[in-house]
Amino acid sequence: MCTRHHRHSIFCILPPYLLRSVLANGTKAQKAAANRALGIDSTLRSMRAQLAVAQSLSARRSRKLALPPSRQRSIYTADGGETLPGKLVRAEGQGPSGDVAADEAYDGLGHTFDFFLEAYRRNSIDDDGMALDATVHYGDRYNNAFWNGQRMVFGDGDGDLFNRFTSSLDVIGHELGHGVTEDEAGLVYMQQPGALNESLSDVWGSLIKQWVLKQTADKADWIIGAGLLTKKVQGIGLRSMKAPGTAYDDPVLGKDRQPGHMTDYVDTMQDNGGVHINSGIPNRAFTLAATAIGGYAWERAGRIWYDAVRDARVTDTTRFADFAAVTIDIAGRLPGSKKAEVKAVADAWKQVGVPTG
Amino acid sequence: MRVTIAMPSTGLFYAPGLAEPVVLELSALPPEEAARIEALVHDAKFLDRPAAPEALTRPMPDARQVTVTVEQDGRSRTLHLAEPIADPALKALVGCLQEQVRALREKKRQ
Repeated sequence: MCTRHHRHSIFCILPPYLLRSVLANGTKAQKAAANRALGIDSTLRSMRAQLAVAQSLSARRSRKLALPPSRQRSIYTADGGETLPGKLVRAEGQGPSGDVAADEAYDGLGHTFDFFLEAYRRNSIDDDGMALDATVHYGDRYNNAFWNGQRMVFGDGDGDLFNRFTSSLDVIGHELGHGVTEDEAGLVYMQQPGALNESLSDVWGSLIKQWVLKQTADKADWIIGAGLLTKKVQGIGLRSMKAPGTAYDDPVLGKDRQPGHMTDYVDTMQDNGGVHINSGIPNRAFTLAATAIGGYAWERAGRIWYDAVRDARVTDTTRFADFAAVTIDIAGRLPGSKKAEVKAVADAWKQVGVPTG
Repeated sequence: MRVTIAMPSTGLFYAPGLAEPVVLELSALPPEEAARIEALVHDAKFLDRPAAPEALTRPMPDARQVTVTVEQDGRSRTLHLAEPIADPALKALVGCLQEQVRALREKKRQ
């Protein structure tokens, strides 16, 4: 890490007040440039904070005595407020609460737990029987869902752009997937490692949906958040793993900017360095590999990606090319491995322009 | 007074349209709405706060980030906030600004 107190000229050539003046009065191109410059500051602050608290691998690998795997779900409601965890509405083993969002969260957490256990023998998010908690009805018409390191938090959506965030199983799997990635590789949520972190969550989210629907790779829609956008929005979901950049094109949301190839990699300081943008590249690589291998995507391609994220070579700063090399290596070592699978994985990364050495 | 709100991180996915800065010239707003925003800016002591974020910790995956700038009488302050926003006064201000943004978006769609 750079320890010199150098301020890059891009960051200080224009004072913030002047950039904001450009935002108010500039041409479209000038406004866009000023917006990018203003975004840099908050991104760098996030980066500094994140690197300071990164945990050591040995700390994350320490395990308590394992208990037999069992679901331990607790669903709370924030009742439109922002206090966590909120009021408990459904605990493990209780019947439906009658609250649609709470029951969707309960089921989604259950599917996610079952998927990781049955597909990969993983005992919950931390592979140590972690209880799964979620809070629904967070905030007032809150347009988001997130993982805060301890629990999942779901907004109801404003009904204008978004429906309730529990309605999409792959979004639930995506959020819990962040817990898995955080526990294993601890990929920093910034730039390429962050985009890889995002992509892995999309992989788990999509695989959980396919696993529940018993879909083969060629039958899956590979859409993240299908049904999450309201009918007013011109779009089919938040992301297309198969065809990045095609999920939406809407007057309010704008156009999906996800690239599907390294030549279109978006260098930006928005979005924590484009974590939700450039994730399109490894997302497409996974769908290409899974489709080429065929069958159920969680069985072979998913297994390769899962073993890769647990591999000691994948660390908090791993970039696309490093991760790609690990997946190819693992593809050749899996029990029952075939040359065709190694080729499928290598070709997938090649097709999205990620060098594999 | 001029208030600019932007969302450099739009949450679970990146929507360029939601990230775009929105500039609110209070003189162009209905008087009661302008007064409400001005009061919230005052309650939050916005212009007197240090420019550093209130408490920026490790970014939570998929959490939204908001940048708010207030300019008044030659003074200016920008705060970078990550959700959930802990400070009640800042939370109230951001909530009010997001209502304004939502109304503008509805007009845009119409």
